This record gives sequence, structure tokens and C-alpha cells, in this order.
Amino acid sequence: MRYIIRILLIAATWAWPLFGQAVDWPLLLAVPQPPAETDSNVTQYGSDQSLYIRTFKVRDSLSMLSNTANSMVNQNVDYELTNDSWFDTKDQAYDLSGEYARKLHWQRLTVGLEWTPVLILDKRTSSQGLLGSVDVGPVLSIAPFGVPVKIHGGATGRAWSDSLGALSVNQFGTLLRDKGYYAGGEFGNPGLPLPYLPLIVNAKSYGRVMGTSKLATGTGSALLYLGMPGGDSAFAYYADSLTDGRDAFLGQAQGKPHLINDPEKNERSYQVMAGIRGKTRFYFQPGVVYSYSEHTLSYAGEWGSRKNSDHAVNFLLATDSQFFVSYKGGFSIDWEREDKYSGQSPLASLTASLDDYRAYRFGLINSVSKYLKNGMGAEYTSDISRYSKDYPNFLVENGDTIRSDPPLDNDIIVNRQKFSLVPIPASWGKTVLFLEYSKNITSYIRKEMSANNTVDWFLRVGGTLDFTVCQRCTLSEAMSADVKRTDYTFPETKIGKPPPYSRQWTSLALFDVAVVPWLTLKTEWKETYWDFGTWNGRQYLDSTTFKTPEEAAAYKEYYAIMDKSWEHGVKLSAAVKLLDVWSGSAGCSYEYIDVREFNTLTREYALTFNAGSRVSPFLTLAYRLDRRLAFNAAFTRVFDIHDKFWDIHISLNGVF
Amino acid sequence: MRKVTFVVAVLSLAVASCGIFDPRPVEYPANETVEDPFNFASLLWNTDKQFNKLDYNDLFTDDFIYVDINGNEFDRKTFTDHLYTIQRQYEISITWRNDSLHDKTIQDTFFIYRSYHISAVDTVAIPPKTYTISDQAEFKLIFNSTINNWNICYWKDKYQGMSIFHPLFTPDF
Repeated sequence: MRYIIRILLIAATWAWPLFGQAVDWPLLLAVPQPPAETDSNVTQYGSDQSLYIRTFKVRDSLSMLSNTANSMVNQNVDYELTNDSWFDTKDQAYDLSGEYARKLHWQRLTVGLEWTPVLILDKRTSSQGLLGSVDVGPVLSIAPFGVPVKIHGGATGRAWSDSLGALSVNQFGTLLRDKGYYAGGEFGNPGLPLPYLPLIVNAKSYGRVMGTSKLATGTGSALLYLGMPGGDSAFAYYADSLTDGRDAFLGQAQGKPHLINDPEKNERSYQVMAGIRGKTRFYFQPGVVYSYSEHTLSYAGEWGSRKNSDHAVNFLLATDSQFFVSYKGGFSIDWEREDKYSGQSPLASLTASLDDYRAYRFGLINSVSKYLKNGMGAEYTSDISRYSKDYPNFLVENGDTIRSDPPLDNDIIVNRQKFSLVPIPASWGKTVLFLEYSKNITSYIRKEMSANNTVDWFLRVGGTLDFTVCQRCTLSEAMSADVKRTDYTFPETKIGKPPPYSRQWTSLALFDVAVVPWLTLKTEWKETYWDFGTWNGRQYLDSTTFKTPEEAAAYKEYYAIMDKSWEHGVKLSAAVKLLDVWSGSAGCSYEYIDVREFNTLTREYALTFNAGSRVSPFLTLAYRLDRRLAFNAAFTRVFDIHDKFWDIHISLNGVF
Repeated sequence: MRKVTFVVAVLSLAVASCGIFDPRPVEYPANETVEDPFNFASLLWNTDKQFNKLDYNDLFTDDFIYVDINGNEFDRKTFTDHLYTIQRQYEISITWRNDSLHDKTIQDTFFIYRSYHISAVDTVAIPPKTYTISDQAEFKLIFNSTINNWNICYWKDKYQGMSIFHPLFTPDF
């Protein structure tokens, strides 16, 4: 019977005309918009400062571009700082990269010079580290038939130390140096097709040879799009990225800066994708997409290597606007696998391969909605998926079968349903009621893990209301209640450990009054109740719990609340807007949280140390003068049960 | 339109009846099962995040630091070796309670503040002895997009003394 009901439920997700969530055509298979023309001469600046508790961050940048008929100069100045007094760290980065080019008026040929000096300085409690690098060399670019081609190369150098004194970079440290040469190139524009072809190609490469390391990187992509005679469209996409060699970066080890030399590696990712998007037939537009992606990472020497691959097929279907309901949906199938190899020995490789997995995923998403002209309507969304994973490799040693530890072969089945309803015309007010249900099954196959198999149920009901009370007053309310229950598949293995159960109810009310056109008073009131505990079902009780059969028969299953909390929050503020350029707000929020936990000795819910209040006065200011100047500032002072701290964010940016 | 509806309905029934949304048969649990003895998964309960991997090498970052109340620091290896030791010796029951007022996400970093209650039974002692403490700890977590997992990179214990998590912990019943 349950089987039949399940079939009907799943069939209903296709047949009922009330769905909601969409399955969309992949963005990679869409023809990109041509890039916007840039200004000839432009200076762009930005400064962003923030302080949150004990972390201070700065990001300043200045970019100047001078573009005349005969030359182009571009100079960037970037500075970043992260100062964390909690961890006593200070990380700084400087970047002064730039370029000069002379225009020769033939096939957009330019020749010039580029420079990329970068300095990274990381300070920790007892020492600081430094890594400086520079690339300098000639640049040549040309655009035959409008296709941009750029080649560049030159000298490169690097200096570093990870044992400098904490107070001054001149203390204790000895700079190590390395030098070499680099070369690179670019081809194509990611937003423009090649001449006379429906093909967009873009590729970049960079190679560097130094005394201690060699590195080559490259990325590229190609998109082909064709219109077919019947009105359908075909797309093919290929993207590849490759890194070969080794690099070093300034990291951290044992709480101190440390120049970490990556081991020599070869890393490649590529993706092939092809799809056909059909024209609308019988009110429906179909689509099918196949993709294959592969990521390989292999290290020279004793390090292991890994390969991940994924095949995916996606079938899509959507209605056009003439159909009596709006539908979007489809299903997808994925096959993925991971293979590992250790370079140490054949046995090590066999052991590494124990963690290799094979997996497949099947997803079925359907979304149907119907809205009337007056705004009333409904949506229904069904999202069901299965993800199954297997670790097929094992070893036999002394008669024992050795598998991955722990053996994570599993099935995860997710079934989510959502229904929302707009029951009144939009002219009366905006109202949405919703109901969400989900059932998630986590099922481990092997005996070592199967005691953890669970079924989770989640149910949420709620709604939002937005009303214009009078000409200058708006009222909105959002409320929801949810419950989550878990059951173990093998309750007999969890005797005395009943599964978790929790509930939550939230309400958020907003009331705005526009006193005068430039002044609005805002009120926000939030209430949240939450509790958490265990569902003490009969199946989780020890057989010795009851002394008589009558006592056992009289037992009623119950929800034992271990923790519960009430959060109350009120925020009052005044928002001002002047002359279309100034805006700001000032106010204060107050939150009180009542957190209690069950004390098994006193049998009472006692207040915990978390209970208490938080008061947060705040001020925001903004000034926006077209694109030349935008200033934003937000100051919040938080007085908390445990601490008091600032939350400040100031930014200034513009273009002229 | 009727033709399309009919095709969709037939497809629906075909998909629904093939059992693709049924879990496979599972082996009956063994006596010794793999669990999460310190209940680390519940550190992120009632947040919008979760751990996808609970293996200690995935759970704690390479540069993880455990800091005790006196500011003494311990690295990941020292700390996780200690965890392995105590989970072998003790039967542990631990509850983490969250204080959502203090949870804060900044880009890929998540700051949390948790109180804990531990009951650990020393199964080696004869007769077994029980050790219980309650206190608080601060955590800093970083999202690692490579393994799609939140990692703990900083753990500051507020316990006055050596909690059971302290790598130099010795039982003092």
C-alpha cells in the first residue's frame, strides 16, 4: 500500500498543475553579451575600511588609465591589510602593476612594457615573513581581423624571508633571492565571436622559469553556437585549465609565517558540454545537455595523484507563455568517480585506492505555477533526488577484508515539496502562505556505519503579509513555524540514545511611517522561540525500564526538551533622505535571549550563561554624487552579555 | 496538449515505479560502529552550515591551534592524537549548546561560541569512574571549497584548568 501511495505521490509531482522551482538552461551554453566599451581616460579609486570585534580590514585601490590616439598608460596601486588582534596577526599586500603601450595604427598593433611588482608581508606573534616578486618585460598586441592577440615576456625575480623580526623587517632576517624569465600570451575576447564564425574563443597562458622552480599555466574556452534549420539551436562548449610545475606562497606553520613550496604538480581541469535547445512545440520548449568534466592532480615524487570525473545528462522542459499554466522541470543523471594513486609503493597505491568511489545522482525537479491577472495564484515545487556512493575497492590481508575506514557506501534520498498560495488580489495587499515538507533518508550500506542510518522529517508552515495601512504607513509580517524529527533506522542499536527533535517559531513585524517625504520612522519587532531535545520513543528504551507489563503498556512516547530559548528583538530607527544625494539612518536595536537548559537534578529549566541582552545603537550615512563619488559609512556599537565591540564599515569609491 | 500530458504522465509512472528513490538493502549494524564521539557535528546545528566530513584531518585545518585558558597553544597533531587517546579510554557523552547571538559569518569565516557539557566514563579504571564538566569555548571556522567542508582552525577553551580536550589532560576525579 505504501508503495502505491509513493508512486501516486511521485506521479503527482508531474501531473499536478502547481509547481514552483525552475530548472534552467546552463549559463555556459548562452551567448555572452559583448563587453561594454571602456572610457579612454579614466581614474578609478576605492577605499574600504572595516572593523568587526578585533578584526580590522583595509582595501585601498587606485587605477589610472590614459588612452590617447598614440599611446596607453595604465597604473594600478592596490593595498590590502588584515589586522586581527584576536590572533595577533597582520597581513599586508601591495600591488603596483601597470602597463605602457605605443599604438602603431596598423591592425591595432601596439608595443609596450608591463611591470607587476607585488609585496606580501605577514606578521605573527613572534616573527614576520615577506615575499616580494616582480615581472618586467615587453608587450606586443595586435588584432588581425578584430581578433585580439597579445604576447608578453621578460625578466622575473623574487625575494623572500620567513624569519624576520616581529618589530622590524631589518631584524634577524636574511632575504633569499631567485630570478629567471617569463612569457605568456592571450588570444580572443570572451565576449566577441571570431569573424565570420559563430565561435567564441578565448585562451591565456603564462610560463615562468626560475632558478629553483618552473611553472606553466594556461586557461582556455571555446563556445560554438548554431541555429538549426527547424528553429532549434545547438551549442558546444569546451574549457580547459592547466598548471604544471611548482610555486611558493607565504603561508603559516606552527603559528609563524612560513614560505611554503608547493611540491611539483600537474593539475588539469577540463569540461566538454553540448546541448540542443529545441524551439517551442505544442507549448513546450525542450532541451537536452550532456557534459563531461575531469580534474586530475598528480605530484612528482612520493606524493599521490587523484582523478575525478563526472558524466551528466540533463533533460529540460519548459512551457511558453501561451500555455494555461507555467511549468519548468526536468531530470538529470550524473555518474562520478574518484581514483587515487600513491607514488610510494604498489601496496600504498592499493591502500590509497580504498578511498576511491563511484557514485551516481538522479534528480527530478518540477515546478508549476498559475497566477491570475489580479495576482492570486499558487505554486508547487517538487524536488526529489538520489545520491548513491560506493567504495568498491578492498584488500584481503590474512583472511580479513579491508575496506575504506570508515566504509561510507551510502544512499542519500531527498524528497522536498513546497506549496505556496497567494489567496487575495494584489490590489488588496501582498500575501503569501506556504507549506514545506521534506523527508531525507541517509542510509549507509556497511555494518560499521549502518547504525547511523536516519530518516529526517521536516515540516514548515508560514506566510508573509504586506499591507499599505494608509497612504504613508506600511505594515508587513512574516511568520513561520517548523518542526524537525529524526528516527534511527535501527533503533535497537540506539537504546538510551533517543534521536533529536526540534521546533522553531519565528515572527518578524515591520511598521514604517513616512512622517514627511524625507523622513521615515521604522519599527521592527522580532520574536523567535526554539527548543531542542529528544523524541523518547518506546523503541529507544532499555528493556529493563519497566518492571511490569502494565507499566510498559502505560508508557506514552514524548518529546523531552533539553534546551529552549526565546529571543525578543526590537529595532527603532529613523531614515532620512535629502536632495537625492544624502541618505542615512539612526536608531537602536535591543535583543534579549532567554536560554534555558534542563537540569536533571532539580528537574527544572535553568537559565544558562548565554541568557542576556544585547543593545546595539547604530548610525549609517551615504552620499552619492553620480559615478564620481559614493560614500557609505555604517557604525554599530554592540553592548553584549559577554563583550562590547564595534562593527564599522566605511567605503569611498568613484570613477572620473 | 493532451498528447504532451499523456507522455509526461507515462514518463512519471515509469520513473516512479522503477524504485530509483528507494535505498538499497543495508547490512545489519555491527557491534562496534563508527560514530562521532565528541558530537562535533552538533557544533553547527541550528546554523545554516554543516560539516560534510568529520574525519579529524578534514575537520581541523593544517594550521589548527587549540588554546587553553592560559594562552598555551597546541597544534593539530598534538590535539588530534589526544582526541584519539581519550576516545579510546572514555565513553563520552557531550552536548554542545549554541548561542546564536554570537555566531557571525564574514565571507568564508564563521565565528561561533559554544557551551559544552561532558560526561566521560573512564572504562579503564576499576570500577569505572565518571568525569563531568561544563564550560564554554570559542571557535573560528574556515570554509574549504576544495573539499566542500567547514574546517575548525581555532579553538579557545575557557575552562579554568585542563578540560578533557586539553592535550595535557590528566584525570583528577
